[in-house]
Amino acid sequence: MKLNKDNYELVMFDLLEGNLSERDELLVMEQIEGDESLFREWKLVKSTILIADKEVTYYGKESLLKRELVTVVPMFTKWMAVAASICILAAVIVFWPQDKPTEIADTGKKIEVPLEKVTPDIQEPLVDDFLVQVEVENPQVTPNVNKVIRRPNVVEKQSSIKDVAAILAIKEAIQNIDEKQLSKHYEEIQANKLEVIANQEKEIISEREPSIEDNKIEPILLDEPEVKIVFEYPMELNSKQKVKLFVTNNSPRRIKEKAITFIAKVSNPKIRLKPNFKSKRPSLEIELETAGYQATASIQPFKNRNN
Amino acid sequence: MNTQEYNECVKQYSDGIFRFIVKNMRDEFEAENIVQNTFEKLWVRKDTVEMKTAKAYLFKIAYNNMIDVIRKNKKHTNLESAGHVASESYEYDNLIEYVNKAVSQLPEKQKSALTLRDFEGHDYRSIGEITGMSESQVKVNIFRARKYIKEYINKLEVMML
Repeated sequence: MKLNKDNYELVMFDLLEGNLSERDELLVMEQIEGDESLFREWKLVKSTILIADKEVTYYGKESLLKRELVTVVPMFTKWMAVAASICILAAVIVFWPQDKPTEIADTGKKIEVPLEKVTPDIQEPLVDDFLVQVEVENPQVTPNVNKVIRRPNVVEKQSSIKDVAAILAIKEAIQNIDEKQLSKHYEEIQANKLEVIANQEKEIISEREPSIEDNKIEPILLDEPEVKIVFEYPMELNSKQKVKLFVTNNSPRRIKEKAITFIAKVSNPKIRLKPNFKSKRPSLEIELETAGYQATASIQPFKNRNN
Repeated sequence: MNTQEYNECVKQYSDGIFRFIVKNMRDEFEAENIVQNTFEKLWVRKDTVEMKTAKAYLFKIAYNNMIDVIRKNKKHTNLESAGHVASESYEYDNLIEYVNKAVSQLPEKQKSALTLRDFEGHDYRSIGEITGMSESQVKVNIFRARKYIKEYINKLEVMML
């Protein structure tokens, strides 16, 4: 790089600004030092460098400084938070509901209170409760009562709320008891009893040769309900009058023996039952019809002797 | 930028900005106001300014603020400076004072580019960011400023001889 009149200002400017390479700097400096006019010009160019006056300073510097906003967090706050957390955790553990019997330790004795679910199980159908708990006894016939309906037995539960539900169910069931069914049941019982009596009498007749004059024959003791049997036979008088006369004037043993004699002679009997349960004094009439003979029996309940 | 970094900027750059403004405006009172305004703006925008670019950012704010003030006082400054060059030139008895007098007569762009270059050591790119010029424009402005100062000094030397 060679200095001349056209480029010396620009080259010296680049030399001053540091825009030249080291090699160019050395070449330019050699030329400047070798030429007096160039050296003088170089001195003027170097004088254009501005030198900052370090004594000139800004005095309001402190007013520009800002204080850091430091949030002071007291140390005990952390420990308070930790302590509070521990207390809450302990309280949760202590008071958390558990499925254990409750223990009361204040009195010194441990009292175990079994947990019981008080909530009634009302979702179960009431009909099922009734079927399980209610037992309806067979009706018993007492002498003065036409039909006796004993209240159903209730298997009581220990749970009081369950009992309430059961009692309600029982009441409802009692109201729904079909009286017709009870009447029918009652008829079947009476019929069975009569059949049993008839069979017993037949057995007695078959075991022993009946004899009207035999006084050794023991009377058959019948359990309740007692049955009045009235035999009617053809006589010159009115048949009923004859029967009444016979029954009235003879002992039961005699009446029974006579009846057995007649029964033994019966062949191809026709038995007809006439129940009459709807009246205040229910009865069951039995008509026996055979060749040459006709018998009528009326059964009525007696009062219960125990009552 | 946090508060600590902001304070560090105040400590490092407030003097340089102040000298830069004083050199260009030759008014310490205005320079103090400009420096204060500059750092106030930095504090407001400190969250968006990084420490690496803080120096250029501060000088750019100061330069723009200075330009605004100069434009407001332009007529007043021109009237004051007119006709006093010749008389004042005899008051300077050393080279530094001659140079300062020459710098004061430079156009604003040349003066700003030259002061930023010599006072703070900014490169052409940085000066261009501060003043809004390209690197070549910065280089030309600095070259013209030095040439003007050189000729100004040369004239005074001739006159003194």
